[in-house]
Amino acid sequence: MNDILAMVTSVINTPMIIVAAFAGTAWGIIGCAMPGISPSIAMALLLPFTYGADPAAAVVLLASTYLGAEYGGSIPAILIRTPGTNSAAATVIDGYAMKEQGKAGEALGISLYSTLLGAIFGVALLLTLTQPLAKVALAFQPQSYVGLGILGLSVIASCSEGSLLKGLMAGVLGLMIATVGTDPVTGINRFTFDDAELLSGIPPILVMVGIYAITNLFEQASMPAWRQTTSNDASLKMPGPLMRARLRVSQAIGCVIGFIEGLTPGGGGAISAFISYNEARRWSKHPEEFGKGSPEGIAAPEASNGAVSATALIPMLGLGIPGSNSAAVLLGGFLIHGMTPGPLLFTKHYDIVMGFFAGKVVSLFALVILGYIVLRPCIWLVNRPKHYLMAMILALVLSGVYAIHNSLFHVGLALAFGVLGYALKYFRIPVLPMILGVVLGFMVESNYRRALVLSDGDHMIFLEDPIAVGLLVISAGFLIYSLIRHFRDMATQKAAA
Amino acid sequence: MNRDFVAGLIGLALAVAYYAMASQIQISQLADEVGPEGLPKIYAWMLGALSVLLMLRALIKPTELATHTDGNHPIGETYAAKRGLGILLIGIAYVITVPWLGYPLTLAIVIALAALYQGGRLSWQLTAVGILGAAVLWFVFVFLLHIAQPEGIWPELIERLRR
Amino acid sequence: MTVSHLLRPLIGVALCLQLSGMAQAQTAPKYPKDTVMLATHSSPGGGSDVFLRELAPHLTRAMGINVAIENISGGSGAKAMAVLAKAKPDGGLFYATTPTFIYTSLLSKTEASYRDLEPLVNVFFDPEVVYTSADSKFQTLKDVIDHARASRGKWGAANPASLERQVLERMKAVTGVRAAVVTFEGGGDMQINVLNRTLDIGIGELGEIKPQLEAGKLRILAVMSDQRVDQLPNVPTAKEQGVDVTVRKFRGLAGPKGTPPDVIAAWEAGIQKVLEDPAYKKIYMENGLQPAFIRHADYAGFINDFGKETEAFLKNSGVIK
Repeated sequence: MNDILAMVTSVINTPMIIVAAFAGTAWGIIGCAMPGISPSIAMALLLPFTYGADPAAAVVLLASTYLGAEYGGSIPAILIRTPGTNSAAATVIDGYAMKEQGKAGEALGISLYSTLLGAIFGVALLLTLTQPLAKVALAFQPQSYVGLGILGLSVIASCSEGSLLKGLMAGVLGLMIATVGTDPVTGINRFTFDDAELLSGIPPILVMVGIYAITNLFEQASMPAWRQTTSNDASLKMPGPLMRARLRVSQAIGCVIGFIEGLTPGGGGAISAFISYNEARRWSKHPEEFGKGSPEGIAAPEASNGAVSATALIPMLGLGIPGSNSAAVLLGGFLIHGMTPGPLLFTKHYDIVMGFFAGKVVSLFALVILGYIVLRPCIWLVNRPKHYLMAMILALVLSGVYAIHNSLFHVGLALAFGVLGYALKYFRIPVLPMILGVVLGFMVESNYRRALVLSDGDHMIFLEDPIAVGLLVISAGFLIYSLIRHFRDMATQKAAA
Repeated sequence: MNRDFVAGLIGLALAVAYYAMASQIQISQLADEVGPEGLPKIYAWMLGALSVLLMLRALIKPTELATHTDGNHPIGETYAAKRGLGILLIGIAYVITVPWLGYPLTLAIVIALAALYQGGRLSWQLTAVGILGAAVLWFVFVFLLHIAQPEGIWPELIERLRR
Repeated sequence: MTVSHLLRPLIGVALCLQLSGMAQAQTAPKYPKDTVMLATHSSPGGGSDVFLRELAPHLTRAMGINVAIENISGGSGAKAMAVLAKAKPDGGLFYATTPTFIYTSLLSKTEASYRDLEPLVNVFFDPEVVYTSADSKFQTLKDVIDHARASRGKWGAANPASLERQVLERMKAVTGVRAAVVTFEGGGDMQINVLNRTLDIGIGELGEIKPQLEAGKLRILAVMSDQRVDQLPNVPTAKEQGVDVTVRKFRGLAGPKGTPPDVIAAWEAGIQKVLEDPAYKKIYMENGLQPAFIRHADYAGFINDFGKETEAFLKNSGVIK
């Protein structure tokens, strides 16, 4: 109760908090709608502006950018099949499918609504339970991350679009791509051809932009006109009561998984977005619609992204340990103003923390209002004549990929991934397993080896960690379940034929 | 030879090449038991095995999947691939020219070229879209987001002319 | 990597910026350039970026020049080194050096390496400390070594093939104990594993662990410098505890080859003056930095030795050929 009072007073005393919440959200939406601009870059660009600002307003500005970014990245994902950020990649699948059916406004409405719900859930936890929850982050050991990664990879079994064999091939290919770069244990360069640009590996966003956006450009080139159903209604359509009821389960899944992801440092939003997507399909009443424009396929990853944008701040505030690059920039924002996040933050800077929390709440409103405003022009833009739209997407992708590391080599690499994506389509090999491999490969490998270093090569270490055991059991269960279903489906097909 | 068989063949070749590269990773004193080449080698084996399985399956029962044309491409896949190649070439041309011509100019040309390639007519409107589009992207990426996009030869040229 | 860089404290930047408004040229020998660009490979908010941004306003006052910061990210410094190597040696562009630029040069074939740059002066040492969880049984570095000798130690370094890893490997070699050295992708990740006692000890920069230290969750066992640091007068060095390993993580400046002597002299004077500045001193002390001015004549040798030592380590351990 005192906390609420303190939050209200802080906003009244510092109206700049409201301005900062709106400005940050707007900046995040616009900045991260550009492919290749990550939330952390968008936030870092604002750092210099916060030097002279009021401390609470400064950190609110940065945190709101993070929230806006999670939503902004989904706009191009839905409209032009180009994920703006890593975590928007799962939204591409059903979001773009809906846009192709002329339901762009509805898809964006579901995205906005789900991000908002996830963010509300995350902010509620942030406000009430930051300190106890921060301790949860400490429970995760390297072996636990292996369990998490295996759970993510088990998704491959159910997203292989009919051919398990090809799905597994794509998954392994993704894992191979993730091995490029500095070896996590020895620091040796692997598969880098001695090129400094490849030292830090191939950025997942580059692979996603290549596989989704550039491949799509290649495919669209031969189509006389954008399939004509795509003249999208230029208005945002928020989901009605029926739709809201339908989305409930997938959003709940997204919230919970996003929450766990936010607490565990080193994960990154893309992993939780994909896991949520898959779990939503597993629990959906209409799993067959996934991949063909299922609203639930948008709701789950978006709710997860919204939740991550708030819960990722919990270990940063409660422990002073940032779990992601974005959280690290926010940590920088606190430090600039002489506040050290960590166990003592709440007692030493109570007022500012309350101002910060108040700002997080204001940014939720900002998200709704700005999300609403920005969508109309976006939908208008994608309704322009096809040759202009395609030319602009190409220009946007070429500019955005360069922005990841200021590297033309990366632009060439993204084009190569576009060709790879085209080849995969040609051979009817599903791309989603490959993306999963790229996203999870490094986490699984580095933590697997780390755990074995700790145990001196003894695999029993994985059975000693309850989190790892739990996650591995769940993965095994899912794997067996999808295999049974796979072979049953094949049997029924055979019987029908 | 059907398509799945070819896919398997390529997969196998990839696995072998990747394995060869993995076994050339040097041995380090800092290495753990698994080593930097440990998982890559396992991945290579997995891809190889899966590829062989795919080839076997393609030989035993060639499914109709391999021959049927994609509904998205009523015109035929060869034509589609050729059209796609054009976009790829524009992209490659951008990567090659942008270090010389600089970001805004090259981008304007790329936009105009791509629009022309997609069936736009050379008109004042198309030129305007090219220039305006490049200007907007320059504004967002270089001005707002401080991305140091390639400047090209211009700054050096101007400095030389000044002297 | 980025996370650990970003973790570095930024305290006091606001103060500096306010000061910069008042800062105007005072008396100083005429510098050939009005504006000097200081480049770093770290992104805004990262370690070297913060170092430069804090330094800039004070330099303006001390040297009577405008200082601008440029972030040349990409390839862990490879791109920045290439730009620097090609720049005109007119005193207009310098690069913030850290051990990273040596590691990057050695680990990959970069267009230009640290050998293609002219080390200018050193400014700070960033003390590395060995720490453990406050609940752990280890009270001294000796306890850790004894434990590792009796069974098997679990030690953590933030990044593979890094200075921190090198220190731990040397500690192992000097004491002859068995210890698993676990590497992470950044200091935060490793800190968690020290806090939950998966690891016996971790090694990192003093500034990085400040929040947990203040909250009493971590305990520093040893400083890896050759002398105790001012911020931790009661913490003995590793050397004092019988483990003869020291490390000097440096923060300095480098320029293009052929930088003229008058420019070098101006910087030698300027940096010494800045380090004395009480306003700046307050900031860098809080950040856990140790003033460590090294003049140009000695700095080239210092960097060279550091490079040779690192190269020997990487070669002996088989990371590079």
